[in-house]
Amino acid sequence: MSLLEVRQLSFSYHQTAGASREPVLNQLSFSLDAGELLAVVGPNGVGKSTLFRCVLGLLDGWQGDILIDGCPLAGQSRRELAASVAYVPQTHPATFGYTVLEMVLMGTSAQFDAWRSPGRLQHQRAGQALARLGISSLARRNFMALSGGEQQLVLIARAMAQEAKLIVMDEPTANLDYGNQLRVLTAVRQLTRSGLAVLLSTHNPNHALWFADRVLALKNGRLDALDRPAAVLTPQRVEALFGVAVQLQTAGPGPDGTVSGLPSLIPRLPAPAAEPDADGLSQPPDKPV
Amino acid sequence: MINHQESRRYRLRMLLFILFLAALMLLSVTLGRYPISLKNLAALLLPGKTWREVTWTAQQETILFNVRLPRILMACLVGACLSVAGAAFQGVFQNPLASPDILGASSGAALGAALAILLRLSGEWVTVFAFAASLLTIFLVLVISRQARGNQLTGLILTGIMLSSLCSAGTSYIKLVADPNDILPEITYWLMGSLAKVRPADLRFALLPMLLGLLPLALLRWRLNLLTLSDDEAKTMGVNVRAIRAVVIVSATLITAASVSVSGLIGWVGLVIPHLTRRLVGHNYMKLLPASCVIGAAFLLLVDNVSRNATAVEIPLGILTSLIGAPFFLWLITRKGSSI
Repeated sequence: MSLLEVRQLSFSYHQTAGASREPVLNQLSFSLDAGELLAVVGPNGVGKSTLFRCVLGLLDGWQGDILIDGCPLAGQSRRELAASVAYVPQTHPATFGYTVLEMVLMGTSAQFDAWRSPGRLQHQRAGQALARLGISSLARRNFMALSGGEQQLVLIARAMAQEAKLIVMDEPTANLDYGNQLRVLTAVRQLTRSGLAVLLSTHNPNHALWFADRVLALKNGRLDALDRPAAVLTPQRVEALFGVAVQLQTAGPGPDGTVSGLPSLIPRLPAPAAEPDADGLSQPPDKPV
Repeated sequence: MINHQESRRYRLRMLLFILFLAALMLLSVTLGRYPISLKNLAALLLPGKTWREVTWTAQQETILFNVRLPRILMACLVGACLSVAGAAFQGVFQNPLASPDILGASSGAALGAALAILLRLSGEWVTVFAFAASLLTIFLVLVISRQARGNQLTGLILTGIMLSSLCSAGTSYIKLVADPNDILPEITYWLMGSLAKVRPADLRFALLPMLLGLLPLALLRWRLNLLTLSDDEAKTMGVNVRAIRAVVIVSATLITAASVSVSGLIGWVGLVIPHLTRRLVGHNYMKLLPASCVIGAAFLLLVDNVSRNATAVEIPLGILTSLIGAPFFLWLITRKGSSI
């Protein structure tokens, strides 16, 4: 049975009379299994965040069915929902300097009543989550003083301590530098190998290509494609979705004979000028090393 | 495990704070124009034992039970309540600069008190008017802000500022029309905050709302941590944000209203003490709230001792808390290696 099943999901923001009521999500159906990383791609404003907010129970008024671990989402209390779905937001400036351990412990709050506080079991889970992400050494540090990548890992640890089987990540790498983006996505990928299901959105098609098990392409709130990454992220589709010309650079023997790496979408640049300008101001395109 | 070490250090600190407060309370009993020794206190409090060598006068007894003890206890309660309310509002509004009067509880109380004084009502009625006006103001803020569009918290704060300003206008007008010979000085004195007129009846009046407000805050203090996160995060972690936030706001308002209605306007405590406490025990409300409670009580008691003993004429408490609070706060935020 799939962990998340979305059937015929439609949603439109209620707007004042006269304005358009174009649905943000339109008859969207897909499912997500345990241990699977599903990446949602599409340009800004295509409905990725709206979809995630529906799945997280943060929006009302959608039509269709959302089943989480077989149970309908509608009618579940916040605490029930928190036991099955966790949310990892983008890193953002915090107001108060909680320690990393306190931050992760907050994720366990659905496991006890409102007037209680985290107990031994919750501390254990928080410790395990930090250990699995390899950031136990950060436990006593001030969350605000961490780098963006470390903060994102802490937020992922918090979602793990929540003990939900499905984790929804809204562009978890949006505010990170290149190295941290890859580190965080590698960690996420490893989590799915232990049976967690991850629904993740990304602005970078290459990230979906490299890390996802399947890719869902959204176009105007409709499902454009849902398949293996290489089948969805063809240069043609990426061009149609984002409006930029790209080409796929496939794995192959590199200059030194080894495999050059993962297949990547790279921009299709205009061909360089055949000859340097006469005034010599611009560099020749192929500078000998 | 790190966790054990940390909770032991916290317990040790809390013990120190509590011992300091207890010592300060004992010391405060002996301070004052009319001397009462610790032996007198023991003899008066524990009448069962024989205290042959200790004697006391009826006057000492009256002063201790009717004036000094109520005042000491009230200073502790008001300090504790304002500090806890400040810490709670800072969490709810995700703003380290929030203080107990952010929604207008103090301005409302001031208008109520000024009105009661203008009508030449007795002292108890001034307290009742101040308390009722304070709660009414917050009730109006909550009702009106529900109509506000956009961010719920911003709507609340803006509504609070507007109603505060309305109440202040009302208070100013009352001061304008008040008799400058007797009514106006009394209003002015009330606005500066003082515990000089605290009697056992005030204690009885304020105690119930204070306990009613402190109890939910104490119970929900872990959840208060989650209110400092974004609504989406708190909700997806299983927190009923609207309900918890409402309970916290109502509770914090209740203890603020109960405090200012008996003490008048006392600024700074609700802002400075939570900040100082954050430095000492961290931001986790599990520790922050109890520690703010004890440190706030000790702080206001200390300041009130200065207020009644430093000079022949009492210095109003509100003036002193600002005088001490503002420079202290400046030191706190400019100290090396610190961030708000």
